[in-house]
Amino acid sequence: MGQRSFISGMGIISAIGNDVESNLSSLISKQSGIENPKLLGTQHKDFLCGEVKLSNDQLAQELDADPTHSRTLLLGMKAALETIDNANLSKEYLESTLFFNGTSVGGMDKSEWAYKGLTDGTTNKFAREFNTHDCGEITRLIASQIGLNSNVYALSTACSSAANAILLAGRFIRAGIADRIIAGGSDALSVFTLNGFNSLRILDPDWCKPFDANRNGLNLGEGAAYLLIESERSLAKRSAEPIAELVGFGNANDAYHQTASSPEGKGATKAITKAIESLSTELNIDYVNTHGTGTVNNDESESNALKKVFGPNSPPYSSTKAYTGHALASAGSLEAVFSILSIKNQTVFPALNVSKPMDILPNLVLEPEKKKLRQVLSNSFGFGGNCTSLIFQSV
Amino acid sequence: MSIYIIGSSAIIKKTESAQGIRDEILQSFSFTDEVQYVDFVPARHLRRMSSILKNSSASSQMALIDSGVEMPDGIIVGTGLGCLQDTENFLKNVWNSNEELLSPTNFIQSTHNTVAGQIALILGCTGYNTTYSNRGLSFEKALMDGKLLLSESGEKKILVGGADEHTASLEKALDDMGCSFEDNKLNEGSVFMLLSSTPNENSTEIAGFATADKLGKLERQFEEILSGSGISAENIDLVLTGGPDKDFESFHALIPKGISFFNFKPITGEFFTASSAGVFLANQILRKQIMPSADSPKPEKIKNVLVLNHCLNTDYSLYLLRI
Repeated sequence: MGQRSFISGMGIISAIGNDVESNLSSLISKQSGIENPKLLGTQHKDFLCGEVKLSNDQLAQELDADPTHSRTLLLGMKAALETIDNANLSKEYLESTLFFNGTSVGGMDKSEWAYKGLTDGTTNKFAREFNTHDCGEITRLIASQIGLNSNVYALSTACSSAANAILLAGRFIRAGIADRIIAGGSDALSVFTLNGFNSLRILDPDWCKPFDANRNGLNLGEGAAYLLIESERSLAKRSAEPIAELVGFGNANDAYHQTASSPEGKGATKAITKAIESLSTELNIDYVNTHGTGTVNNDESESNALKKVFGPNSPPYSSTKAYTGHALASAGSLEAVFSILSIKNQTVFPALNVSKPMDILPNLVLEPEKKKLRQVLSNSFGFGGNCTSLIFQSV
Repeated sequence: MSIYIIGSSAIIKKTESAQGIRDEILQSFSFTDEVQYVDFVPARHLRRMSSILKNSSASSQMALIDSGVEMPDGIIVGTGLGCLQDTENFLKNVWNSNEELLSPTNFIQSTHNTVAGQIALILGCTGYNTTYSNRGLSFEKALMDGKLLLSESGEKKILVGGADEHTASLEKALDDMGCSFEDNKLNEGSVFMLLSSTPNENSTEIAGFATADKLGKLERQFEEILSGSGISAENIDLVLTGGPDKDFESFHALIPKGISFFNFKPITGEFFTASSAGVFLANQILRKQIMPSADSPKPEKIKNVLVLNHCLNTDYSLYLLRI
């Protein structure tokens, strides 16, 4: 089976808090962070978004970083530094720690404005913005700013990017080719993505309500989150304590449509099944943190997939998207942190805004509940049919 | 575990600078103005596709045909900049329309994983699917994942590709950034290869590969690869370089005199995943047993080809292919 993958630290910044503790207290008190955007420079201020409450200037000041950097970079630095701190990872180990980062917009929040200057003729230079536009450079910069190795992996599979970064970390450690990896993702809100999702007509003008029979679309969000994933020998070497274990992971493609999921959840079923088959231990999933975006299509497809895998008595499930909004490439790592917080606190976090649950699956969690949680399944699905499932276990 | 390339294809835009190259070698490449895209993608979809999607849809299927395999077990794509043209088109529309009345087509096709997703959709492939975007090492990250997949149980034939697209504003931005590509004009291409841990009658083996951020580090890795693969520098029959000789000058001290160096970038041009085209070329040279240039003396049998690449003087990669 290979080496086991332990989580020994995590960091997060999202619409519901700037660190792990504040995210947890928002989840327990059913406090959503979704509201009209104050920072994003869009015409569509009426759309509800899960915007991180710190401005770029505030982030940069806290990080002692250049405030003109892309927000994706600043958010990534913030969450990665918390991860390092949370894991007590001392400087001597940083250089030998790999960095796997999921991002889909990269530095688009900067390059889109420079490109506007090109289209309306107000500027003809966008070299600097272009230089940090790509996912690879944003990832390399996050790593270099916090002292990590330059051998970085940038994964870009739309809304499953961060989940695939965590999956890759699990595979590297299992295969014995790495012992210590910071894995997760970062994505900032941008005018590009807000308009993109609006053009697809899948933004709910009201607060999103995943798994409600009358759900009407998603709210976009942003954020960054990372896990420090370590082998047993790395933990022993630095006398570190694990907080959870990554025990299963699966990746599959829906191969159905460019953006929509198959109604029966073909790709999701396969990803969950592969994650279960990959388990390094027995199956004990007690709760599912779903992808649950709140679109008519996703929630139907995902419910059908869960039903297919677990039968009519599937484990309790909920979506945390109504707290954070859909943070796109970083969603998988935000929800990995939430899954681990569930395990650590033996608490399931409730769905929000649901007045009439869908009738495909019972057990939608509607109130925070203390519960024995051995394993939590976390799903992330994206455009392009990319489906990834992760299983975390208590230690 | 050994990794074999059991089928391959490269679609690139024809460059004007490809001279002094044997026709049989040049013809290994498929050129964008000659590919019959309708053979690979329904015409109604082709109209809406940018060049990276057209080239990748066709190239991936051509690699499968070359290998005689219908369905891969996984699809992994490396792309430096993803679907740049659709990204630009959507952005242009966002700003020109003041964020109103936008058609979603460009947005849908703008994400980096559109390429791997589109191939999965065309093939109906529900296996492992992912995308890496690491500038000049994007293809290398994809290959690293492919190698790992092969070593894990279950996934037996993995389609790995490198794809990038050229646009006018990319040219301008890189120029503003002070990036000099010298003789190698910016270009675009999609290169796909089917990897397997078991060989077939056409296969070449990737006996070693390495990446580095500095040429010096690559030299050290080269020596490790030689000792690991049991190939000595004297046994290398040809060195393909992704750039002019001077970019890899220090390798002349590591390679015995008389072994030919050949710059492949005049054929492929420069793009973030151009190293994949260098690997493709090495694969073709080994399969066809033809040296790329009439000037290069041909050994009795071409057994080992070394590929060296760099992009922007920061992303270096090395491959050792053998037959």
